[in-house]
Amino acid sequence: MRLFFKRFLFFLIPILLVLGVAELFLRHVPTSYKIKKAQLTANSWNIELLILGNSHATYGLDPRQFSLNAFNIASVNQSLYFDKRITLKYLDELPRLKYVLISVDYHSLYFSDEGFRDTWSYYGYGIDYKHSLPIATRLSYLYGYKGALSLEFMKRSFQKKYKIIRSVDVDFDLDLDHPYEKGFVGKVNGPYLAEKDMRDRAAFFNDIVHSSDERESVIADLENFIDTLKGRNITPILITLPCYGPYRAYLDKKVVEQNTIDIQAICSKEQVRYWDYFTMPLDSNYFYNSDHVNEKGAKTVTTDVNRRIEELEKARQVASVVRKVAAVVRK
Amino acid sequence: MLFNSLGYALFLPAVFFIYWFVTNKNLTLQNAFLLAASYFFYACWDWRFLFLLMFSTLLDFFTGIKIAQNEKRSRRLFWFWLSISINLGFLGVFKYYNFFARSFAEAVGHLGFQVNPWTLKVILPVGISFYTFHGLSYVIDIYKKRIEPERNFIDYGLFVSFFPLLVAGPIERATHLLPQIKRPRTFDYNKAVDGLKQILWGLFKKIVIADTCAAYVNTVFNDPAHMPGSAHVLAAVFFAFQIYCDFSGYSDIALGTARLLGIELLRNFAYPYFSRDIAEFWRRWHISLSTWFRDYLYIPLGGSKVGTWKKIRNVFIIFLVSGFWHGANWTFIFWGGLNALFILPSVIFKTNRNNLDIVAKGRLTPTFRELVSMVVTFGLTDLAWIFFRSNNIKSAFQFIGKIFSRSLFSRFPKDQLHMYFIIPLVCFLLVEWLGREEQYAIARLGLRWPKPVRWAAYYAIFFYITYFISGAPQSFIYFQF
Repeated sequence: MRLFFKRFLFFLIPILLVLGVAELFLRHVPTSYKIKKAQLTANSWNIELLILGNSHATYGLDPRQFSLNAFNIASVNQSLYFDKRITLKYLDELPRLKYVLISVDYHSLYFSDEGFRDTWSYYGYGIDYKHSLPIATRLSYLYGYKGALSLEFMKRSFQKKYKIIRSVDVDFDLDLDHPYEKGFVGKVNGPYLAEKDMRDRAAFFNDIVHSSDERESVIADLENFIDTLKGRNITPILITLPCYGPYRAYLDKKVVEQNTIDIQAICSKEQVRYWDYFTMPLDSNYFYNSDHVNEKGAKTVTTDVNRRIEELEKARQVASVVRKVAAVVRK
Repeated sequence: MLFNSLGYALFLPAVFFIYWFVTNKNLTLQNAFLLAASYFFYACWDWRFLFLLMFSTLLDFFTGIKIAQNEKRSRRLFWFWLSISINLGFLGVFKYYNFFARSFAEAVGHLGFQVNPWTLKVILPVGISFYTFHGLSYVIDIYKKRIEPERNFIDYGLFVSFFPLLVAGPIERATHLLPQIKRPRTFDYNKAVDGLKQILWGLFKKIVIADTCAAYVNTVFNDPAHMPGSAHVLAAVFFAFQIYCDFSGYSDIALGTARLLGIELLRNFAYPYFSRDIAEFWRRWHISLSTWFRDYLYIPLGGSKVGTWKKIRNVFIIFLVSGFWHGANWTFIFWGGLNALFILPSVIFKTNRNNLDIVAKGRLTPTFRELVSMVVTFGLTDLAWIFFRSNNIKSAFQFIGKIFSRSLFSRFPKDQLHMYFIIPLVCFLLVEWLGREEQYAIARLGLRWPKPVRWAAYYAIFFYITYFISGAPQSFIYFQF
């Protein structure tokens, strides 16, 4: 028995050493989540506009194009559940925040968890999806990232492949040596608009929507989020970002209609604005793929969004002046 | 609790430690501890069904004693049939009731009547087919006076519920396992090391090969309309690997775990894909179930010592029942029927025992004839697996139709096939071939190599397992049976 344990432990030592080193290494890997969080907290006192949402907003709204100080905290497949909790977590550190752009796209009202990205997001922001992450995942990055991804991180590190960020899943056609600016890195390649890819992608989202039973709970959670923001004198704005025309034809029209009805109902109930860019007439030069605009597209969309924000700002300033004058007159 | 989960990685060492260091002085205590650990293991899945398991165990324990106590045939028959009917009743309710109800409604619907059958909304208790068969064989053996009933409930409970075999076999026999449970066990270094190696190989088969194949198989089976024939062929072949590595991987972990605790379980797989005919395949695939059906169904029906027509009937009965045992779906029954068709010629012409030894025994390579036989046998079993995997018979035929379409020569999507998988797949096939004369493929791998090289091989296997571990541990296919 003693011999068995001795040899077994001897066999285990190299494994435990490797696992330990890997664990330490992974805890220090700069991922998109960690970098966004670091940038957000470093500039939080100055941020006036926050962009939330999934990949559509991640690549579709360029904070550099805003006249206000904007920051993009959206991430690939980030659900409204996480949008809300990330914002609320850092809200006290955002004293100048005036506007929150909440991206509500084709499937946004139909999902709340992010699959394996729940773990990545947890390592970035410390937010646990409905407290459902296993203890082992919370304790060990190696367990959470899993073998293949951990090894990929290490490989990139040894090859010195990326200097700035080793990212977790946004490295397709992104210059990861190029720093995130205000939480944003745009897509520069493409367009990838093959018929089959568009059909598969639409089918993927149609599946999510058709198999979901979360719509009502997601809407309720969003309304609660809007109430909280309004209570802090912050203006929430719902926004839907552009999709490529032929791709839209593969989406379920009933769902698109239902989305419009749902969003309008939320806007009417909560008295918030909705800016719909879903059918914005952009040609293929503005797209990275079927449902993501490229950097050029992001600039075009954001410029228009900025114009509307500026109008709101003017109205806000006028209202402020009117309030002051009224106060003086009352005195 | 899955064998490939972190929970099990903590559970097993804890059991091992208490078993050999705390309870080792007293056999009763050791068995009681193993039984408690087994119940805990089962309760981790769903504690409510633990009561069903306990009831089934108590029933067979009690009826077994009653059968042995009574000399009168009618009394023996009463207790015998009480046990059989309740056991099969549970199986029928949980596993087959909905199937029968829906099939009846469909059949009546064809006659123009509309029936909305009352169906049960219950999940299938994991392992019910396995522990029910444990109990059935025990009661049948007592009735046939092959064994004496066990009078120690802890020992009998452990025979039924021993955690390595509880949820997916091997289906043990009282004659094999009970004597081991009743005998004091001493720690054996070589057995323990052997057990660890078998667990390692089982994990490799499950996590590296089966789960990776599953990703490709699921992609094609879930969206066959958009996949070319070439992808269908690859998916069918990969499913053959998936189901073998999934189930034999599970069995390896079960056997390895039991060996760590000083208990030898029945072998369940003996390199079935190296078989030269279908009869040989069925002697090498899910051996504990095949022999169970042979001993408790085929032989009582007369086996092969009857006329040709009865022989054909018997073959069909055991294969159809075997298919039905796997699940309440016509696809499994069709799969069983297809295998019966494949094996029939060898049963009729008495060539079914031509290939008893492993192929190319004592040689490195097979002869050309052996190679062709293996490929043909694999092709036939793989054809049957398509029915096993499909959701219904219609989609299985559509799947096969697609294979024989023009798109067979189109390029298949390679998205999920990368070198990281091809390398271990090739290594796996090579190691299985080289180790085919052993209990499991790496049993004697590198025993003559210097220790650092041998350990490097084990580290490499471990590395690949770690690399391929996915998000949540993937369940084993046979858990659903």
